[in-house]
Amino acid sequence: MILEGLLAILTPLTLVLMLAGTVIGIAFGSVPGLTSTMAVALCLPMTYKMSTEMGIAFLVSLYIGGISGGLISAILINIPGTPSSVATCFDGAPMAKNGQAGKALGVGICASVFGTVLSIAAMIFIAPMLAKWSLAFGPYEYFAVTVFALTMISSLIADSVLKGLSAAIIGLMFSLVGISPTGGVVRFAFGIRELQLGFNTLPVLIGLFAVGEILSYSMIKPEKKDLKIIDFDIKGFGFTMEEARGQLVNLIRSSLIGIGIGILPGIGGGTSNVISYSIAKNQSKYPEKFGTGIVDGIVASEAANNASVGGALIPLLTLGIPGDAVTAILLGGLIMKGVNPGPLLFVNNGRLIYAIYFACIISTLMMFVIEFLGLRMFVRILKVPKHYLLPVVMALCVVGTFAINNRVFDVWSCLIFGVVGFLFKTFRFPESPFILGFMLGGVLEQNLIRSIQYSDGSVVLAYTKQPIAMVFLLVALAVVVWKPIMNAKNKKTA
Amino acid sequence: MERKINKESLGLGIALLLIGLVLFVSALKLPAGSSMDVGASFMPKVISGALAVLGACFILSAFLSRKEVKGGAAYTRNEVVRLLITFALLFVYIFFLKKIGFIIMTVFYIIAQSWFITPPEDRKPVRLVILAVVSTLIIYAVFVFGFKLLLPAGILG
Repeated sequence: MILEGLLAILTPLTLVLMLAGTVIGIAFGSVPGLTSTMAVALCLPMTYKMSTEMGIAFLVSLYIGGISGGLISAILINIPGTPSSVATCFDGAPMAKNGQAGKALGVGICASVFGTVLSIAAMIFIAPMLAKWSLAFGPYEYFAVTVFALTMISSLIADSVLKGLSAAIIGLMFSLVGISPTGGVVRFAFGIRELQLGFNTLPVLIGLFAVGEILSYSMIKPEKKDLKIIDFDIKGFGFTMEEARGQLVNLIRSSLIGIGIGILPGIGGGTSNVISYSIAKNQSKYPEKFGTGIVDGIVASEAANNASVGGALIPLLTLGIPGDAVTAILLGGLIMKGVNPGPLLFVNNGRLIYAIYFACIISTLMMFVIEFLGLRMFVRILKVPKHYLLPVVMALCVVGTFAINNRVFDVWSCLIFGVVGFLFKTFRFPESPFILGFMLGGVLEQNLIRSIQYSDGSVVLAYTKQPIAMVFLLVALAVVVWKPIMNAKNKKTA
Repeated sequence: MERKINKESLGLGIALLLIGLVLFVSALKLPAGSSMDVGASFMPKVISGALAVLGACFILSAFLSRKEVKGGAAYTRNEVVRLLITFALLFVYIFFLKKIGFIIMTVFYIIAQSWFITPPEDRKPVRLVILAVVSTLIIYAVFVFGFKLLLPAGILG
């Protein structure tokens, strides 16, 4: 099975695609305004005719490249390429200013690789155990875990729990459109024939993450801006072995933080880099030096954000619940291929699981080599003006959404979800809970209804007899209640 | 202390409450589709009900808020006009996609959209046309020959 998985990845075409995926991922990650989420969503239609292993390997390489690519712009122009590299700016930009751009880049790339490798190891170790444990899950547990995932992401990601929960509920609402899983009734189609089958996942994802971005960019009156890119010079890795040894504790701690945050449903690299940075600062013997341009800061941020990749894949593969926005898209990709992620995947489709493991390992290697060798190329991409890039990206959105079913209807719904994404941005609603709600709506409904049918009378009573389900539901409730209380307390003391 | 109303929350709350209620009413008309009362109409009722409740919470929070937030998204007229122009361009692009065809419409769209979001002093017509044609052909080649997907040929087909 292990060999089969490896062989599925080691075909020339798959390797070429992964190479392309890593390059595209890094490019999207490095250009501010284009994100790894966008890259994966845009490339999803391309996997339509590929084999499952090939398609997933391609998407994984985009993901890994995209998360790491953000460090290039964070260091060289002091703008994070993706939300995952926000904390990389704190020390990366000052280092570049002090003439140490090459060293900063070298440290960032190596920390990225370290974080990814450790998280892949964690995934290989934890995922099968979690899968074995969750094999016994019935509708009670699945319903509870889904509710847990939705409330976690809603309350952790947004500044307001209300906005996060509303985003999740709106996503669930859209998932209801079309034929119902129980009873086969057409719901909320409002007489539109194409809506009877519900919204296709792809237009929703592309609309929300790409079209919404373009709509809001187009609003800003264009002004001529000169982008200042700091020149760099890099020899070897840019740092000494001794320096690397000094960072070992920081590397491991930051990677573990990244993995942990990645596993939590809904939040990933965008959160972990900032948390890891502040913990590294608190634990440091010289916290006052943070922000002035020291390698510790870059290590903390870049190891953590990449470590979230492996972390986020764990709940996706074992429970079918995405760990962040990108893995939500991967879930869409898997479902499109007729694969339903969950514990049974480990029993029935070990080949695919191993293929995913190997895809992660190989794209990490590719990322390492490409980032070192291709740095100057990515700097050139940074210089391409947005007014050229965005219309082309928009054209890609249209092509991608059209090509899945050859329906213009899907392109229209992509535009509609672009407007939804724009409204979300305007009123500061987070997109990830929406996506999770939309993707998990069916699972949530089926398991809730099944658990009601099993319970034979009182559902509430039936749930109290399920300890695992109860724990998840109680934690979900606690998270929703706890955050507003903490916010109110903070306001009083402030 | 004088109470101030957070108008943004109030507006959002009213909108969510109304949408939730409308959807709830239409969910009531759905056939249950099951012998028990938990069929096809169950989840729509729960979710639209939850939406309405969240709307009510927003309204409540608007009155409990201590800081004043102005209503509306606070976009200028100019920004709204710009947004509508981009939206119109996209509308035309999608509307004629099948009738006129992918290649012509995409070249048209990239040129128009890029021209519109480029600062006037930066506009370079020749470079833009080359970019539009080349990137359209690349996208076409990648999707049609590389990934074996169909794109509308339109009047060229």
